[in-house]
Amino acid sequence: MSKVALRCESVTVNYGALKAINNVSHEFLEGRVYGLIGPNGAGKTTLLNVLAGRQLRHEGKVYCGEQEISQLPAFERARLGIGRSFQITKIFGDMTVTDNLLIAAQSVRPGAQPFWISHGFDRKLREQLDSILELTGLTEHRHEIAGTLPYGLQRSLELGVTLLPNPRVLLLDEPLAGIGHHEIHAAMALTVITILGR
Amino acid sequence: MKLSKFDILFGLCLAFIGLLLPFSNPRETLIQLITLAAIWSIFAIGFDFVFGSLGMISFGHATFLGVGGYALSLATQKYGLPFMAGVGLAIFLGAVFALLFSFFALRVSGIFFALVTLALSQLVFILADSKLRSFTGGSDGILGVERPSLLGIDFFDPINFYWFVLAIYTLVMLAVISLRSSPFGRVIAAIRNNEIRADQLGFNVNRYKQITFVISGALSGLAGALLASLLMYMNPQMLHWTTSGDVIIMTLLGGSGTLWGATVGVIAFEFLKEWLSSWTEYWYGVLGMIFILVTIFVPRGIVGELERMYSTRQKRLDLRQRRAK
Amino acid sequence: MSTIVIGLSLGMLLFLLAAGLTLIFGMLGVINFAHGAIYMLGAYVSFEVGKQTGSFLMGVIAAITITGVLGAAVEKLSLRPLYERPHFYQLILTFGLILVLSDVVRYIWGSGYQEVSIPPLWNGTVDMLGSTIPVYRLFVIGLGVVVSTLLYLFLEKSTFGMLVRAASSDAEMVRILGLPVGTIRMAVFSIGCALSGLAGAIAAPLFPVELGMATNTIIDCFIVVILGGLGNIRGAIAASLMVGMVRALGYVYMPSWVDILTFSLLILTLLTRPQGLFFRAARSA
Repeated sequence: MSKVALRCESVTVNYGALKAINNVSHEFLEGRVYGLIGPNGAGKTTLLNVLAGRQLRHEGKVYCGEQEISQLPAFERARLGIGRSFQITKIFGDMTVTDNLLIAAQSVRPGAQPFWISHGFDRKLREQLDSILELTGLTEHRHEIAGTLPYGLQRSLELGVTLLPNPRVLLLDEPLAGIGHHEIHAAMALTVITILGR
Repeated sequence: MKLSKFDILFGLCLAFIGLLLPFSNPRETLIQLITLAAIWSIFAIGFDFVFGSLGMISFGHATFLGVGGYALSLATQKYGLPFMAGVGLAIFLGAVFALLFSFFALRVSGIFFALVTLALSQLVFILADSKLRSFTGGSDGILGVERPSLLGIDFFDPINFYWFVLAIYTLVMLAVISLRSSPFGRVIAAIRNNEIRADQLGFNVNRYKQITFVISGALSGLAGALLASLLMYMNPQMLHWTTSGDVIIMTLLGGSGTLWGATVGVIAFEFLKEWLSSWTEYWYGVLGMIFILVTIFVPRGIVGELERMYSTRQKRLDLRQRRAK
Repeated sequence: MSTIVIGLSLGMLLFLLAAGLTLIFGMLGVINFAHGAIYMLGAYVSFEVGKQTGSFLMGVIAAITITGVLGAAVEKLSLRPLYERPHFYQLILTFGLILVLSDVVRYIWGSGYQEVSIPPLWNGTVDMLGSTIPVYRLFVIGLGVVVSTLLYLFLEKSTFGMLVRAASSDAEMVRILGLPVGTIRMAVFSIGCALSGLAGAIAAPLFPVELGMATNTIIDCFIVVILGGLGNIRGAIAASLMVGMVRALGYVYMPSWVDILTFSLLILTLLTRPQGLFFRAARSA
């Protein structure tokens, strides 16, 4: 009997008069893959926001394992192992690909960070980058500024940044959104590999 | 953010000038001016820590500067503490006030943040000017603030005091360079780039902003103490919100977010002020006009533009080299 | 009673100032730090023209005109290039403007303070409800009511007002519809400055006209605008009356605490309702 990784109970979200989510309850079991499918405006991103901690104003409860996390802010949920990628790419646009991934690596221990130049610390971080760089096909681009990458590669970086901290629960918000015709195969392959690898 | 070639080159130039200056037999007024510039640079660096790194405009920094100045003045004059203890107190109180301000100001963002810091700052000014007059000396101020007393050196000699201030400035710059290139600095840059992403990854963004603000306050407090010591006088004017306005002008002139922008901005401001006031008594207005023009046409500031020109030149050279192969 | 009248008149003056500021912010997203400096300019202009022509009315009209034109020029020449950039550039530019205006005023009129006497038409006192009330104070209150009504009619009922509200909501859309967004922005900034100039001209007989006006009044302005909610004109009315009353009562009963009271009110508001005491969810810049 698989354990419950994430659970929502009677979640309702109202935006003024609009009921974006109406009394949703679901159990998400460990080791399983779930797809949330619906037309535009169905409330998919809203539900993801409730689960990931971006939408705290809601009725009902959210659980991670046994722990109730309904009002836990997003950064605390990340520390519990919940990772989330965004529909509208949110990467660190003015920083290099490497720096983007270094931040993701640093987020594994998000508490006190060294405030001095620490080569040892950085070296250990960099070792974690290689596998993700390969997976996302960004190895040749690792010194480029993230904001200058073509959109498909930015989406790959988005996924890379989300994956690197090795979250227990992975929430992907429309991972293929906005990807052009010629990039769609690579993107789909990456998504499949990611999911299979877990 | 790693140290760039530009940063190192520029820093070496500044170091060269700074170290050679006392040996060129300068006028006392020039030494005083450069010392003043170094102190204001520490203040501007403190301010840009919040503005350049996180894009938050604070009008509250005059408070941290003034609190530092009063801390030193009162510690040495009223309570007879040694100079360095006064400086330590100034740094501590600058940090404490910054923490206090951040408690109110970080609840809101953008314009509101600026206005909250402005309101809090003005409140402190009014208190210092009126209610706490017995403590601060009101608008008459405190006369005869001390110079350091270390190793028997006479720091009333402007050149000796200059070395003292230069040493502190160097320490501050080293600390800033270290912070910028550190993992901590990287997180700050990430928060600036995309706060939501940093938050979703697990960083307590508010805590980081608070820490940055506190460091900024500590630096400003240090500057305030040094300023009071330089002028040998302390009064509430340092706390007025227009002082915060001045440091904003200096930072923007030099280029916010860059390593040397704060220092260059201060030097540019002070020299412009000296030059302009020699032929008009309305130099502040002319400076305001120059500032407006800089804001419109040179938004990156002096150092920002220099950096851009340098990196464009580098890219052109790289391209030529690659074509030659 | 006279304290209440003073409080109301102070409130109305604050409203004239705050209305301009909140209008500019609400419609353009610009915090005009120079608002106090323009108020100061209005006061000086009305003093000068009043002195030259002997007519208070001419002084007021001159103040409104000059500040209005100045506002339009500032918007067109210096703020317009900055709209694409982050907001703080505009904010800092208006700070630079304070320096320029202050020295221009100092150049023309020197550093001393000037006095404007109450115009003979509104001079004198009236006995009302047991107190002696200066007529000029009642005039200020009346003017405030008239201006706020006109402002309301303009924004809510006129075509141009509708354009202004539309442009503040979605400037791009308005531009695509072929309407002159630039002109609308210039007009809004101009009106905001003109209101400030009017406030200066009206305040001149009540307070010493001096350089400090530029940096002192702006703080009160901000307090009112924050309490009322940025961009919220109705909130600005309520907040200015409130602050005006607090000041008036404070001056009578505990003069050395007035400023501290006002600031404490501000800080309390910021802690509990940072969007303003009279926040309406619809407003955004």
